[in-house]
Amino acid sequence: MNEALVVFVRGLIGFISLLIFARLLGKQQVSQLTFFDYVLGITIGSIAGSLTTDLTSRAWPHFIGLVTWTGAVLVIQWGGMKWRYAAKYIDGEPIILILNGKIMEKAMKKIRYRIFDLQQQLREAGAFNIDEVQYAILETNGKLSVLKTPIAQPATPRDLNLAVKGTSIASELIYDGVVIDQNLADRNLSRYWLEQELKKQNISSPSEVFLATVDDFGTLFIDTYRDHLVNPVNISDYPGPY
Amino acid sequence: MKSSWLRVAIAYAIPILILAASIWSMTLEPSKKQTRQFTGHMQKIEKQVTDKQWEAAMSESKSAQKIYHSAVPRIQFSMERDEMKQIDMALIRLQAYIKTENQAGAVTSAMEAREHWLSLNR
Repeated sequence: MNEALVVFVRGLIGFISLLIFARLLGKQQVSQLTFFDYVLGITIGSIAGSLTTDLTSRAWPHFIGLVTWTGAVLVIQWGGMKWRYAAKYIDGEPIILILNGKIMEKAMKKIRYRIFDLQQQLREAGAFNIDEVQYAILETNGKLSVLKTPIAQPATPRDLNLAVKGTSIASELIYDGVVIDQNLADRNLSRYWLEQELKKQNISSPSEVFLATVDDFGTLFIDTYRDHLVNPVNISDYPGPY
Repeated sequence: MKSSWLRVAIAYAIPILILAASIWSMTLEPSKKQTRQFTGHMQKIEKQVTDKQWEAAMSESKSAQKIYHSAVPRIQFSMERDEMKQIDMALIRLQAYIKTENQAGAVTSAMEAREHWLSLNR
């Protein structure tokens, strides 16, 4: 029995299983994870780790553990999708900590949330004075959502009656020197048009371009490999070795 | 249209096939033939040791050891390392007891090796 080979094969099984199960569980962002989701992730990762290196037990029970935890999460997610009440029961509800500028002491006490925590999270949200806050809501993932009083809110173009150009999402036309024809076709653009645009900026070939994007208004962003910087700013004080 | 359908099929087939291969490798057991041969050798050894046929018992134990070593590559990814080592150790002890013509020790080791082998299939 070659233990290194066994660990290698079990490691591959654990890694690929974890990858597949993580894809199954969805794309919830780390910042949106509740404490329970966080613990779930650690537990599932720990089971995959045991599957890889714990040669004193069979791989199969570990795999069953992995499937069980993943399945349980899927059931909870499905339940939360189907029944709103179930989602609230499992994840809890957002809690209002500041209502119309008044701190909700009872709500804070109920969730063992200190005033220092509130002040810290308000500062993180850009509210350094509680006077500025109309509403503060503690979300189920532990983040504080803050709505400032109208007087403390930054002016928007609408407040100033300014006409502004809309925004759009840019799509990649060249990445790593390779033209993405599908995105060109989606935008009803041609290679000829792209080459003309590159020529205007003294770029002879797409292979010189690291990234080129275009938005709905036809604005082209191009970044070449050669940046031609005259006096590049160096923020490092570490001489190396790298 | 056809190619996009094919892409979806491949996208689903790859993880399913990988998981199936993983499950297959994690649930491998010694073949029924190997189990039948190994336990048969152990039963013969018990009888031969009782009848004090030491040379025949030694030959049987070596055959059993060969079967064990031929099964290891197949089951190493699915079985407990300690369980497999215990079979190995029991076989070595068995040969030592046969060599020293120790009846009680040899029968005990043969039964122990058989029991550990059978536990691989549980």
